[in-house]
Amino acid sequence: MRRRDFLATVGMGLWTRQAQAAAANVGPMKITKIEAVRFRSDQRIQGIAPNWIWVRLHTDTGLIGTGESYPGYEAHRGALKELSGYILGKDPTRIDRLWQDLFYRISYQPWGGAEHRILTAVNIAQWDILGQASGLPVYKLLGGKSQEKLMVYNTMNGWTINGMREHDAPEKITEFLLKRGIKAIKLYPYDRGPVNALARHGGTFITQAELKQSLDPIQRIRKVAGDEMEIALDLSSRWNLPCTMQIARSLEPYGIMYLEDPMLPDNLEAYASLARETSIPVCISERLATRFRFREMFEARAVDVVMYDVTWCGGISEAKKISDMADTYKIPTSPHTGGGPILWYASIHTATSLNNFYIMESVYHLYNDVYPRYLKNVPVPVNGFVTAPEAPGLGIEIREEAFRNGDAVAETIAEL
Amino acid sequence: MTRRTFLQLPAAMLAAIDNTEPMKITRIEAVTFRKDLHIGGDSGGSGVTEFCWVRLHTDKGLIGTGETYPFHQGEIGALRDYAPTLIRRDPRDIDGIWRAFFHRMAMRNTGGADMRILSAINMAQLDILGQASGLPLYRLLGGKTRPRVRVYNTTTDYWAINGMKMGPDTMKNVRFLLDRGITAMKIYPFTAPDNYLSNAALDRGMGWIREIRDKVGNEMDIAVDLWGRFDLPSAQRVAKALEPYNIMYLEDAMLMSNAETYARLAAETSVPICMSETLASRYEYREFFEKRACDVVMYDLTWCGGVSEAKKISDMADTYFIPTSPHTCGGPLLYICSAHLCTALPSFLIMESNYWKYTHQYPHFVKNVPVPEKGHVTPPELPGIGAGIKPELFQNGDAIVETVASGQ
Repeated sequence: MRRRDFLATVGMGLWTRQAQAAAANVGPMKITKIEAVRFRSDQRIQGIAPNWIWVRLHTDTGLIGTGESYPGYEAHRGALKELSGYILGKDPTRIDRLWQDLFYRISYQPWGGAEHRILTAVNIAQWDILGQASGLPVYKLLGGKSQEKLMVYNTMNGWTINGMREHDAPEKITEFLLKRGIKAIKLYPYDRGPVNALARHGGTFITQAELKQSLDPIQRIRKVAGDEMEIALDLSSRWNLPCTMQIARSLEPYGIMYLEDPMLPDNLEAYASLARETSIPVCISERLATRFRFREMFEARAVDVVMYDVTWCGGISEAKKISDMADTYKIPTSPHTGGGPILWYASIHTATSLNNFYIMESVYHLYNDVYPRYLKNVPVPVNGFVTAPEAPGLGIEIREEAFRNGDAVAETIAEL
Repeated sequence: MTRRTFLQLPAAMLAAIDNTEPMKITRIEAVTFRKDLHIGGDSGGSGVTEFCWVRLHTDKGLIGTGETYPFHQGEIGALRDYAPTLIRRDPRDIDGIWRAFFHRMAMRNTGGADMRILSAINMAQLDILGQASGLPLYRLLGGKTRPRVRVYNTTTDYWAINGMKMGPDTMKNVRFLLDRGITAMKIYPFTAPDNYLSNAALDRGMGWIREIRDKVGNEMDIAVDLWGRFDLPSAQRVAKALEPYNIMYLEDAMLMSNAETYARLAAETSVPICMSETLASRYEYREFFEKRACDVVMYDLTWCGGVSEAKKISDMADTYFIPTSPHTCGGPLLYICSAHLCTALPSFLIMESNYWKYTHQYPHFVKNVPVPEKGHVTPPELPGIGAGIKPELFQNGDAIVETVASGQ
């Protein structure tokens, strides 16, 4: 890269000299220490405990990369310990090589679960390191700014907006979001609220009355906002095929943005039948990981919108590969972000680089009440859009006091 | 139901629940083994204890033991995360506990340490059910479909027979097994540094197979395992080279990430394609059956979701006339439970065994190791798994017990 182009890409003057120096220094480096960071599980932020783990990779260059996964600590910590022998001493800039080596290792047993999520966290930390070493924000390493800014929707689920719940106050929530320029929302009327047909039948049946009653928050939002608010629905993968078909049919008149995860995504023919049957775009699923599993869904015409969780699916590398493959089917990407703060940053970087971006999940409670306790520069939607940090790597600015006051505790897992 | 009809019913599992008192899990323990515990026996490489146990204590005094491997810290970590949800549950709610655990896990892709610890918990539950009902595990799985279970020997330099290496000692290994009535073996003749197998490496590996066929004809059945390391062209070339040699099956030629690619391999070759202990849950196997990608099903019941899930996978495989050949190269409870399961399965091919493990490793931990006689094993005729876990392990410091959760 010529110096002039390089300066143009870096953009932010603050980083220019530093970045330039770093770029010249991206050479062989070594992971010298692996840390796990535990967050106080007895801490409640509006009743909810932080449930994610950070993985920190220290290098012989002094750079530290941070990755994340969730939920829970013990299984991840154990998996990190077991895999640390394959990570320690490796060059973190050899991103695909380490991914492949770890994936083959965990594929001697049925892969997935905690080990795969650790592979994912390590991959994110590697991108953080490469970004810092080169002086570039991660999105620039992934292809640059395909999106100037990312449209967000707000997910309700069990979270509240200043205490308001989706089934109690859909009108007030709608007003609150529209005032902030957020024009899309995701609801859970089938497994939350007063109807909660899932709790009544365990996902095996739904009555005509429950089908109609479950439409209540949707109808109330349409009543106050008309078509100003896009509505997505999440069914938490708990339903069988006939219930799913009935739910989809009852939603047809409401202009739904997408129907997410009605069933477990382990039978693509079942999803293909649903996708053929309904005009509502079908979105799946952060429950899937790796390009291998998404490929099947694409080939079977079982999906219209792809959702993954960057801290579950195999990391930033794998997310990019999945989205690029989805693009060959004209399938757009809507990342799952209802986890920890680094998921939020990593998803923003990844989505910024995507040509086939659709809409980004965001949770008001998380970026407003939770993430700022741990990070200083949390991206907050402005007029309904969020933009990527311009600092090198993931661009996270950790609040060091969290480590001093015991909110976050780093534990050395392995060291050279 | 009379006692007689109860014993005859293949659905004995349900009946046993009706006939015993309610009970609940009061304590969950993780059992690992000291790191420096080294089992001798000239294994050629291994000697470590790669497995861990889960013990479920109940208010009725029964203790069920389950097992999994090989990454203890991940598995025990997962147990710590999940154990609180199991306390006070009735351990005999086999499918109910499985389903709740699976759905919780499926929120963020299933598998790995989480799936393995679910497998161990499931085994411990069935151990309790067997003890509570007074029935050996195989009776809860449908009873005796066959009087004895044929085994092959997995023959690697890592778990060697008295230090003998494949290649230089191929025929010594073959004769050692044939002398004991073991007429099948699994070998690993093909290695490469990356995903591509060169012609020279292919030919070297074929040398083992030619030698066996030249010296003992078809007396020895041969399975070939590729460890899932190769790409499609290499897998196709291996299958083609194996065609003339009456191979029992070709196992794990590639990673299990693409059923269509496996279907292509299976359609091209007459060598039976076997897969794979790297799959878990009936949901993953279903696809390989439907795509006609699989001729022989292999699972590891300490990885695939447990004994009850293994049974479901085999029963589904049977509807395609696909027989089962379980993976057993882990700990002693895996081996014994596999013998129980293979006794009961409708469509069984052959069970894995390893001479070093049943001769040297397993007897260190349990008393009732099924040792092959004339190439066959039978499961213990004792309630539950019936392994006869050695109590001294818990006194001499070999076993390290951690209480992960408890509550009345």
